[in-house]
Amino acid sequence: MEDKKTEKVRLVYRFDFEDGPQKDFVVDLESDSLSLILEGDHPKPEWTRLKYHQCENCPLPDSVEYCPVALNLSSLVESFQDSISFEKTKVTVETKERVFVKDTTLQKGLSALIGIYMVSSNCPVMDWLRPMVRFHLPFATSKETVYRAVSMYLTAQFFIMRKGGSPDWEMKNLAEIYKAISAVNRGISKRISNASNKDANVNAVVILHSVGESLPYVIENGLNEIEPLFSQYVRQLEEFQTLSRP
Amino acid sequence: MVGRVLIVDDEDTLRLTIKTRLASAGFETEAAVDGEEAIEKLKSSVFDVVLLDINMPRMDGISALGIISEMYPKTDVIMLTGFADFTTAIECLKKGAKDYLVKPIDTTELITRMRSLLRARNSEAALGSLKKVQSSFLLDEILGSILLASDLVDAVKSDKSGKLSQDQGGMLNSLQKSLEEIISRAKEMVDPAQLGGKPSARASKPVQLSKVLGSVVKTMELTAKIAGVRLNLGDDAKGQKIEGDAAGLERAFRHIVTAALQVSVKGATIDLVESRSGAQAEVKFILSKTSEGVRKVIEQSLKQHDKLGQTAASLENAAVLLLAARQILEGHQGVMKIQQAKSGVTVHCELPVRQRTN
Repeated sequence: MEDKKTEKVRLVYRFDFEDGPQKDFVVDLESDSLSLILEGDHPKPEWTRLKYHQCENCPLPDSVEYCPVALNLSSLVESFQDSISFEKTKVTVETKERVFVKDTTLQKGLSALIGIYMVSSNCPVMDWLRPMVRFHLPFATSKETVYRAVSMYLTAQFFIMRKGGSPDWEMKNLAEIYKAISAVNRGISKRISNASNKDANVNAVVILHSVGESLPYVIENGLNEIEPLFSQYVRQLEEFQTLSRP
Repeated sequence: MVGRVLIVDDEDTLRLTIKTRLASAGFETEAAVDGEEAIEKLKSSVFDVVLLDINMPRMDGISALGIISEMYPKTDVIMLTGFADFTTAIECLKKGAKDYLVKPIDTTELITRMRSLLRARNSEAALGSLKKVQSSFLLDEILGSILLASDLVDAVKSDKSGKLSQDQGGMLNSLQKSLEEIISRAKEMVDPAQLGGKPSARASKPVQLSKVLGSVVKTMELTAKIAGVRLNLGDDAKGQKIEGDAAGLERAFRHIVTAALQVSVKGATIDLVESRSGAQAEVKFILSKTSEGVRKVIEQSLKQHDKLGQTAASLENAAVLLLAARQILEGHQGVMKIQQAKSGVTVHCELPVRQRTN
């Protein structure tokens, strides 16, 4: 939902558990920067300090007191610190354009929400995924995420080309970016593991990490997992381009 | 293929990621959503390694680990957990897990660990196979011959015709003592647990069983005579051929006759009978007047493959010899059975008849 007055992009995540309780999370993002808007008193437990299990590739200077990803996650982590990963839940995600509903496990629903919090945190590494927040797809499969990540990256290369730069059509740097993101996922999982009594929070990050971990290899293998989906389209395009050649 | 891996995790994204990465590193993979499905998969398929998540619905990883360790001890288990907990890690290792990894997993590190685990497994298997060869050699080639020599000494010593001088008797006593010492040491060195395999016949040639049996009788006749046991070669020999190693088969049959001599009393007979049943050649060693409970003791020794020293010396020697014989026969795709007859025991050997080729 886009709030015209306050220039916000709003997503509402609702978790309906089988045994009754319901938990709502309203995510407000600045519409231009897509940064999370943190309102009111936000908890700053020890595990949110930058030096606490700081990621091995953290580019932030020592002058930064708190890890931006950890800060964004602190309330959410607290909410699910005693929850089990495979607990069944109905997750409803409301955006301005549509509503997504899925009967799933807590870890799956939580991973989608944690993904938004992480990318919208102003962490310099997670910023690489910033445009994906605008086209957020809750409960995405690995294939869908690979497709979105590759699409985002190649779209950016198109813009680079148009500006006269050197586009990376081979996506060599995308694999590197995802390796850096994996390192952040590992660092964050260590932080929240210490802030949780059960495994729901950690396993939600593990899901994000899994997708990030596999992406460099999917690219290395020439996107062979999604290539068959494009075979007909590629043929058509080739024919079209041959015909329209002067 | 580097190895077969079963990935057990309730989360599909994780299963898929690990599957993709392991497959790209040359592993053959299958996946299960929880402990119950993992156990079902293990029933129908053999895996080198199981990657087992701990916290899962239906059957958790720790319960599944207990079952896998007990029912599939040759399968190694690596535990995966999203929630690091020292006590649980110790519990898993105590229950037989080989490793304990905390998620999120660095798949490159996982592959390195898996390769190292499989290398260790292969080295262990190679060492086991070497031990098996050594045990078979010790049992078959050395112990069998020494037992035969010991029997011969025993038989010569028991000859009361007065042909032996006092010095010769003393020398025999000393020789027998040395042989007994060697037998005792050799038995200690044989690891019955290593004798489960089926070595193949070294040189595969057409072997005429009647010739082998004739040679056995000729070699053993004197020993049998001194022991007061009659050795008869059955008249219904069919002259049938099998594929194998004549020297090995002769050794196996000699071991059986030597074992028969160990358990027979004076005045007994040992009949060697060759016959045919379908595609099987049969060689029966029919023993009359064996000592009490022989079949049971020998069978038990053969079955359990252990604690050879628990039985009386002569029975123990017979069991060792039969074990060696069985090894050789199995190497020829043969089967050895021991049956209780009214008057004694029958050692029944079945071997596949050689198929004629033009």
